[in-house]
Amino acid sequence: MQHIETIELTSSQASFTFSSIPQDYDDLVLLMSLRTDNNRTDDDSLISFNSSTSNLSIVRLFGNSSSVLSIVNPPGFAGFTTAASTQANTFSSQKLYISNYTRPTEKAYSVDNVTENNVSFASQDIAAGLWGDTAAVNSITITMAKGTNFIAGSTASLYGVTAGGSGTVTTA
Amino acid sequence: MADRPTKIVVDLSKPKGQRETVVELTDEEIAEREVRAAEAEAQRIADEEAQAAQEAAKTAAHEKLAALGLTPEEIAAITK
Repeated sequence: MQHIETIELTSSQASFTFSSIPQDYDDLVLLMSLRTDNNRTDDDSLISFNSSTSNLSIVRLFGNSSSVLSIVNPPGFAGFTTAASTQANTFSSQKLYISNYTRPTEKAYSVDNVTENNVSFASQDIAAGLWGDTAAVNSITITMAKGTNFIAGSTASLYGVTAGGSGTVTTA
Repeated sequence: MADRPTKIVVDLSKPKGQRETVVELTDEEIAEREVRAAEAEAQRIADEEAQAAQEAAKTAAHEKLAALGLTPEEIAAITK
């Protein structure tokens, strides 16, 4: 797994985009530590590919301190992001794995994330997402579902994963 | 007047150190952001209502089983 780039926000931003993504890996990994200014405990962040918000679907298994749910929205879900009514200086951990991002088929991705709150309430989510488009992914944008902003200190790191000679993915 | 929201674009075709650009959202992007926010809020309310209905049905079912004479252990055995 090879590091491509890291964004660290120094001011609030509505979204961030990795554009002109190199096309010579097999898979992409996006690791994010995020916090939003929305006045809730957590909020949905969303992914879009190539500036398209169409043809996105999601199946989620969600849990928090009181309930477990299976949910099929919002399209483009990219994980729960820690929000403004939680303990200060806590950020969510969000991992996205985007398989075969250059192949001319639909693009599957997975989400694995937790909100960090250091109290009894926190949310966890695992999800399977799909972008029903055959174009190679050349840009990824992350935004908040409810029109709020990512605050300073949020980070996102993009990695490329290359298959080894045996056809299996190397992660070293 | 509130500041116009901005976004960061990282162009990976450029050399490191020259990739990041902060740009203001266009009117179209702001409008789209507001539409998505409204849709997300409506969905959140629908999800919360569905969850509340599910919890209410679960509570009612437990009460009916208890009224039939099942113990809490017996109810747990058939519902978990």
